[in-house]
Amino acid sequence: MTVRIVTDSSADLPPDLVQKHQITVLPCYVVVDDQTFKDGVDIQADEFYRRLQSDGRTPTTAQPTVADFQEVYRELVGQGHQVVSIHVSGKLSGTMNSASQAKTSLDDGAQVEIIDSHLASISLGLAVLDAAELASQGGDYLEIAAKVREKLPSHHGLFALDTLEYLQKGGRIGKARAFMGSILHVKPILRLHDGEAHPVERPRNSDRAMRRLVELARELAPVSRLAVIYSTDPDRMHILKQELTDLLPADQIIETRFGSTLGTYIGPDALGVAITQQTK
Amino acid sequence: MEQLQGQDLKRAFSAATGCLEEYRDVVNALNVFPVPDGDTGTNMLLTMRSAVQAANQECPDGLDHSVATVSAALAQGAFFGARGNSGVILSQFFKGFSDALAGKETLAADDLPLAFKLAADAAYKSVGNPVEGTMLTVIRMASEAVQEKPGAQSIISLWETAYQASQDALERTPQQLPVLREAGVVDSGGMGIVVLIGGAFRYLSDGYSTDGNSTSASLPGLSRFQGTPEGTLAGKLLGRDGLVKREYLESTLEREWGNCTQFIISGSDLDPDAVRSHFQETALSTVVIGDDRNIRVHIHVDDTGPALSYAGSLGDLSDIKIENMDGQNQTFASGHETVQTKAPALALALVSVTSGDGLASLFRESGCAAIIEGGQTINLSIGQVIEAARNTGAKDVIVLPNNGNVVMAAEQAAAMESFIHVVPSKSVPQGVAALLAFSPEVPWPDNFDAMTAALSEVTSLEVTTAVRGVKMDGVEVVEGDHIGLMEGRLITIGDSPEIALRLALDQGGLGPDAIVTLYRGADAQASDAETVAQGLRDEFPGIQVDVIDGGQPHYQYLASIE
Repeated sequence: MTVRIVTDSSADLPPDLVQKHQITVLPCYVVVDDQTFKDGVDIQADEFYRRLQSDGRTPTTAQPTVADFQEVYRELVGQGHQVVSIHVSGKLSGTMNSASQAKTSLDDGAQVEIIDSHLASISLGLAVLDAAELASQGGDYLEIAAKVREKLPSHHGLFALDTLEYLQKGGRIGKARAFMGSILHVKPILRLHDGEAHPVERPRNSDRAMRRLVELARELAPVSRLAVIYSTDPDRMHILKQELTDLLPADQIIETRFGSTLGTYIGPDALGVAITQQTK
Repeated sequence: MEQLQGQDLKRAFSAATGCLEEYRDVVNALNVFPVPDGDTGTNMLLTMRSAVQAANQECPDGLDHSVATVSAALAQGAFFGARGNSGVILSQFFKGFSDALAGKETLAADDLPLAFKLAADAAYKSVGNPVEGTMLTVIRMASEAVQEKPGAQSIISLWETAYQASQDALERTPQQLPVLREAGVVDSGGMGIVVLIGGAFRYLSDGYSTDGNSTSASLPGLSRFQGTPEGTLAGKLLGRDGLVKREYLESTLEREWGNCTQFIISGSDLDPDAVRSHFQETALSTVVIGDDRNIRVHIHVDDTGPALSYAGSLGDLSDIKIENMDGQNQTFASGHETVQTKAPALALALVSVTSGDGLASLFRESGCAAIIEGGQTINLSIGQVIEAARNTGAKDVIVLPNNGNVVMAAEQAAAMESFIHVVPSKSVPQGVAALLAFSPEVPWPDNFDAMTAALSEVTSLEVTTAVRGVKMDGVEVVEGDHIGLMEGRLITIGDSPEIALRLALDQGGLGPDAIVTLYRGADAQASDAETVAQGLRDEFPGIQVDVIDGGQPHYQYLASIE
């Protein structure tokens, strides 16, 4: 019996890592111009960002349905696996709800453990990689889940946005509301904390934003995992990555892209850094 | 015409929709509720379009269809296309109407009373707390008038009865609803209903001469409700410029924040009543309608996450629409030159002293809870500062004076009230720098320190016209000279404000990756400011130059270098 890891597409994991660790990724739904797509399945990032920036209606997102989770859990359990299912913060999405509902509908004895990561995007992705690595070393699903939970506070996410406009339009502005500043074209930096995106700083241009992102990332050293992420400008992500090579060698830094679920809120020209701090 | 065929009914409502199209702006203009739910006229129109489209799809022209099929298609289309509160109520009107016609091949005069009755009942049931003086009342009064008519009436005369009663009901809405009475306006959704009933009536009474698509400019009897001419009901509310009167808005402006959220839940064994009571407890402006398979929800919530999670746990969600009302409120407020809404109970609020529309919006939009009009020539009282700080309702308030002359008044206010703290910004650029160092989640002492430290990170420049001849900082100034100041000290004189600005900037020290912000005053031309900015960009390729329409008086330019 092996433990399989399940997550959702808001983890923004690059496909090669998903494959390598046999992670099951449930696609979230994104509704663009009244059409519903599965994130990363029926709509790819290039197409999504093109439409996000066109004049159509603001896209919306929806979590995977209870039925989606049931199908995945039933299949994995049916194949004799235990499941650790790790998802985007319950404060940002209803995904946890769908997962929990699906679990209650399973037969007694189905060994599925669900974790609210209190994270989002590739920070969640790093927690998922933790889990996958633990699973590959063997062990019971409950032990793995306990270790993953214990390590959640060491995952961090820092995001430099071009604008808060998309967060606001998508109804997820939350605590960043008093942090607008579009007249001054500020580039807000947000940090994941307690399952929500909190405003940190608002530099006046994207160069200063990247500089601050690097400085804030360095404050988290020493690191055991590091990922950089972009929405529409891979070149700037590569510069960011280069700046961070004093934290981890370049070949160990994960490069990835915000999918349409995160992209709906984070918008074009966003960058991010996800870090797992070393624990004793 | 004693019986209506399905196609007649479809065309009647198609004509009514065309009519609403004509009246959309009138209905929108009546929507004086500053709580934005989109615009009532547009919402009702979109709902009707969806209803008619569904009917056209289900029952194409040229084929016979029963009134049961047509009305069910109308109801279905309205349900899935419903926009806003008014649209949701309208869709229930059609639901009730179609329930009454279930199984009917044609519609006879005898059928209308029940159709209107069930339509009104369904509309009332969709709303948590029905309020009289709204479109609900107009629907109900139309329905009651139709019930009271003795049997042998023709369809057209019954429809005319409904139309007349709906107008009477609309006229009385201001007496029923205090906010309308204060404004002297009729209810906008009610007006929409009158237009729809009237539009259908006109189609029916014109016989079958029209194709259901053509409309003429106005319905009989409606001019008294519409438009801006003084003396009409709406005219009393609307100022001569067609804008809503400021006093009215100030007296009624609600502090609505968050998101107008709409979606459809689809599943099996759904319980609309349970969903309605859930959202009545957790959301505002709740309207929940539907059956055991589809439920449409309209709510106002601060955070959409939990609402969608709850709904998602019941079934599949679709047609999700989230509109942020903060933005709408601001747009509405600025369009009507009225007061700014405030956020509820903050731990820490910022209050900024400034003059000029552009600067006021900048400070507000970047996080200030209140703006006090003041500055160079407007002396501010300590009382004004205390009052503005107190009105934020926040536990602690940081004041940005943004002018050397105001710092003292602000500091005296702080001396009197321990919840007031002054970050002594002596200029707008300093104030902006402090503002950007503000972090809404950090306790006030930390913010105070960070904001105070930010003051020294910018160089502040000002360009103005000397109001009298004087020797100042060693320089002889003649009245009318364009002078440039740095940190309040005279540093240059130019032949034009732009030249003075450029000279001042050069002295301010433009580093290789400097950010220059030019705040253009009320007396400066946008093109002149842009010329200066472009000159800087051309000469110093690495720097960023932003031009902001500050609108400040007296100073043609304020500028900062960071």
